[in-house]
Order: sequence, then C-alpha cells, then structure tokens
Amino acid sequence: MNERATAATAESLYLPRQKVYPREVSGRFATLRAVAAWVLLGLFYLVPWLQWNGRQAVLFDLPARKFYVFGLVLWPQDFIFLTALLTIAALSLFFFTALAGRLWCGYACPQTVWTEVFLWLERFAEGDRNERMKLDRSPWTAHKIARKSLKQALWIAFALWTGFTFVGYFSPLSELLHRALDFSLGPWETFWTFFYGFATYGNAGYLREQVCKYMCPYARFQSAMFDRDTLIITYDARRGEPRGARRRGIDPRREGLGDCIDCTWCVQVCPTGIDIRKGLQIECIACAACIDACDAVMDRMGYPRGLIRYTTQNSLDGRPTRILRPRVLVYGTLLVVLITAVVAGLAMRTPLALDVIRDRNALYRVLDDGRVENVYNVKILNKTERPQTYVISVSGSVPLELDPEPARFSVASGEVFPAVLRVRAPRWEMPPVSDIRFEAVSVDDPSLRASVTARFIAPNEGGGS
Amino acid sequence: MNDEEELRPLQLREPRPALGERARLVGIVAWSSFLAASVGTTVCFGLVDPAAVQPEEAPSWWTSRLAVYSLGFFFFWAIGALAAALALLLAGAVRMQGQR
Ligand code: SF4
Ligand code: SF4
Repeated sequence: MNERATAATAESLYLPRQKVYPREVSGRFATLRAVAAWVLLGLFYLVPWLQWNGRQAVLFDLPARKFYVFGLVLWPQDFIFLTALLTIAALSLFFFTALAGRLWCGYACPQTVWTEVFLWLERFAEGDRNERMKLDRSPWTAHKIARKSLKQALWIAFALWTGFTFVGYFSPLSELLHRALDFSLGPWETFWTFFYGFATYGNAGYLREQVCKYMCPYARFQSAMFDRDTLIITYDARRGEPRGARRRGIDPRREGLGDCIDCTWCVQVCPTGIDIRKGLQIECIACAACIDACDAVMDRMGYPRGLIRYTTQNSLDGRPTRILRPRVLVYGTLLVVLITAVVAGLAMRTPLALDVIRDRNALYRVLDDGRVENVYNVKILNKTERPQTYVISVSGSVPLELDPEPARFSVASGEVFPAVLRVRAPRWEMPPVSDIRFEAVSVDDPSLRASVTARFIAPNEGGGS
Repeated sequence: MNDEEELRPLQLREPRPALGERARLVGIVAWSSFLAASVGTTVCFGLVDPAAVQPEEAPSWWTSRLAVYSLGFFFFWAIGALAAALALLLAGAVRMQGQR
C-alpha cells in the first residue's frame, strides 16, 4: 500500500491523487469523439506536408518572419490579422461555451485529443482497465516489464513525432526531415522538438485530467459563461434516485427504486474520475463518456435512455430552455462583425505597402528658379512572393514635378525599399500647407497599387501677391 | 509536526507547505508564467524583428532570429515566474491575515 502511494507520488506533479483508469466505452458520443480526434490529429500531422506553389502550404516561418497560409502570405505588418484571429478564437470559445457548455473540452481540446491517443496506445500495450490495474499492482515480472516498455516505446515515439511535426509548422518540414535524418538539426530545432515532445508525453501520458483540474485557465473561468440554458451533462436525479442494485425484469417503482442501478459504470469510464451523479462538477470536461456508459446499461435493463444526458438546468427543472439569450446574441454579433471585418480586410488587402514621411530636416527649400522643393522618405514594401518593379507618381492641386523621374524602383519579395523623393512645385501657386498624394503601381500588375497622402509645405507669403 | 515547529514561540511565518503542496505551487508558478511568456514572446517579436535591431557588436548568443526568439521566450518565462512567485508569496500574507 505504502509502495503504491509513493509510486503515485513519483508519478504525479500534483499529489496525492488516485490514479484514474478510465474504462473504455463505446456508443454515440465515443464515436463522435473518435471521429473528432482522427480529424483533428489528421489535420495536425498532415497539414505541414501539404505543398502550395512549390512551398509548404501552411508555414509560420518564424526565421523569415512570414506566415504562409495557402495562397496568403502574411508579414509582420499584418500583425493585426493575427490579433483579430486570436480574438475570434477566444470569442468562439465564449460563444460555444454559453451555448453548449464545454464542447471544446470534450471533443477538440488538444489535451483531450492527445490523452485519447495515449490511452489507445496504453490500451494496446497493457490491455483494458482491469488488466491495467492488475498490471500496476503486480510485481515487476518479465511480463510487466515487457508491457510497460512497449507502452513507453510507443508513447515516446509518438511524442517525438508530435514534437517534430510541431517544429515543422515553423520551419519547412521536408528540409527538417532531411536534416533530422543526417543528424544535423540546429540546436534550437532539436530543443523545441524535444520540448514539445516531452510536453505531449507528460501531459497526455501522466498529467491527463490534472491538466484540466489544475492547469487549465479555461476550466477556471468557463463556469462564468454558463447559465441555466447552457447545455450540460447531468444525471437526472429525480428519475434515478433512490439508486440501488436489483434483479432484471422487476418493476423498480414497486420496490421503491429509481432507474439508477448503481453499477458505477459512469464513474469507471470518467476520464477525470468523478461521479456525475453528485451533480455538475468543475472537473467534468463534458466528454459524454458517462452518457454512453449509462445508455448501454439502460438498454440492457430495458429502461429508456437518457438517465445521464445532455440537457440544461432549466429543462431539468421543468422550465423551457431558451437558446437565444442576451449573452449568446452579444457573443454571436461580435463574432459575425469580427469575422466580416477580417474577411473584408483580407480581401481588400494589397500585398504592397507604401509609407511616406516628410523629411524632418528642412521644412522646404526654395530653388534658384523660385520653385519650392520638399523631400520625402519613402518606404515601399513588397509583400508578394515575386520581385516587383513599382513606379511612383505624385499628384496635387497643381502640377508637381518628381525627382527622380521616372521614379522606378525594383523591390525584391518581402523587402522594404527605402527611397528619397523630391517634389517640386511652382512657388506662386502653392498654399502654405497642402496635401499631395503619392501612388505606387506595379509595372507588371497594374492592379497592384497603393497610395498615401502627405503634407507639402511652402513659404507663407503673408496673404499672397 | 516536527521539532522546528514546536520550538517556534511566535508564528512568524506561514506553516511550510507539505511536499505535495509545494510541488503544486511550483507547478502553478511555472505554468502561469509559461502561458504569459507565450503571449509576451508573440507580441514582442511580432512587433520587433531581432534581425532589424541587431547591434553592430552583437553578443555571441545572437546568432539567428530563432535563437533570439527562443532565448527571448526563456527570458519572458523567467520574468513571469518571478512575478508569479512573488504574487504567491504576497498572497500568502493575505491568507495568513485571513486566518487570524
Ligand atoms: S479543461 Fe482545459 S485542458 Fe482540459 S479539456 Fe478543457 S480546455 Fe482542455
Ligand atoms: S462526468 Fe461524464 S461527461 Fe463529465 S468528465 Fe466524467 S465521463 Fe465525462
């Protein structure tokens, strides 16, 4: 007993805890969870292998400071989009939580998904729940060592591959693989592969439900988004109680029993080790495993399904459930507005940025022939994936002259080209301060253009002529 | 529990947390600062390009953007851990007062 306690201690960061041995479960929601896990993991492991125009389709190229998402290339100047996307992600989380509780936790959170995979591997190596418990209790026989080593080998291989794939989102994956195969990975690439791999191994292999219980910020504040109309997983105590074992085929009502036969299957399948019959608890990640387990038992007993089910507090209390509530509407509206803004922003975004700053050193210069000259520092940023040649023109209320003329600049892909432009105007026609407009147009693709206004300053003639 | 505690005339400090609790506090510090460091690193290097601000005589660890990002991350993590640890320490004083 003592040994087991210390074993549990060594194994867990947060102790003492009872190791949870979730029983495998099958049913509607288990299938749904498996599908979600396959789709999400499939995406995670496959997406970095996709190619697009001869490069990796999705690549957050940190070393080069460019994000590629299929046809889209984002530069640091597009940071606002990243911020907007993160905000959208957070808002959707609020929205779905208010509507349907911890859907995210049960089906989509990487923690859940990877834990699921690690459980599959564990099951493959060590057998089902009873076999695993027996194995843990048994002394270190050759059989136990073999089973445990197999599990560790599978876990470590999977975790390393995960870490490697993760790094592949930031540094081109096929080159990375080549370098990995000749052991010439850079020190930081190696480090992050192992770091992420180790995090996966620890979180999905050992910490599991403790991540949700103690480490996850979402789990702490999700209850603030719940209300009486949120979809939650609950045990229908009015129907189930008083619980108790019984023979099959008897009429429970006559024996004074509810529908719960107290088989504790719902507890055994729970990945967080709680008893849903005690009511909704913060530990519940809404994975619906207990629903599947209980439904299977109800089927066997010939009782209607749904003793444990998705429902809302209001409907449990026999009151109507409202789906459209102020908070849902607010989150929903914000989401729609933000998504529209991002889509519109991306659609209208030109992969060319023009930045014009008046030279601070002199307000203006009057040339010998009486014309006025202003100097501008111009920056042209080519955000396309090809080199471009741009022509800059200037316009204002009077004819303006540009130096150099023509103002043609070749800018490599992703480069910022700094240029100095002089603009001259006839002195007698200029007000002291006026706005002029610079425009850059690509020679090869005239639809690629950007313009910007700047100040032109001329001497103040004190009321003119 | 142990003699050290028996001998102490005044309770000048909080009872030392048990091993399990201590591990948990360390976990909280490490984890919360990790989350903060992720945000900090993203924002910082989203706005500043290490290659653009690289000084003429860069220190020897300033080898590549990736190196600067990574070390920057650890820097943020350390600072975050410092703040989290201090917060826990000071929160302990509040809790102690609450117990009186
Ligand atoms: S509680 Fe947190 S870590 Fe756990 S499943 Fe939910 S979001 Fe993921
Ligand atoms: S109580 Fe049910 S839904 Fe909640 S975590 Fe446990 S098995 Fe999943």
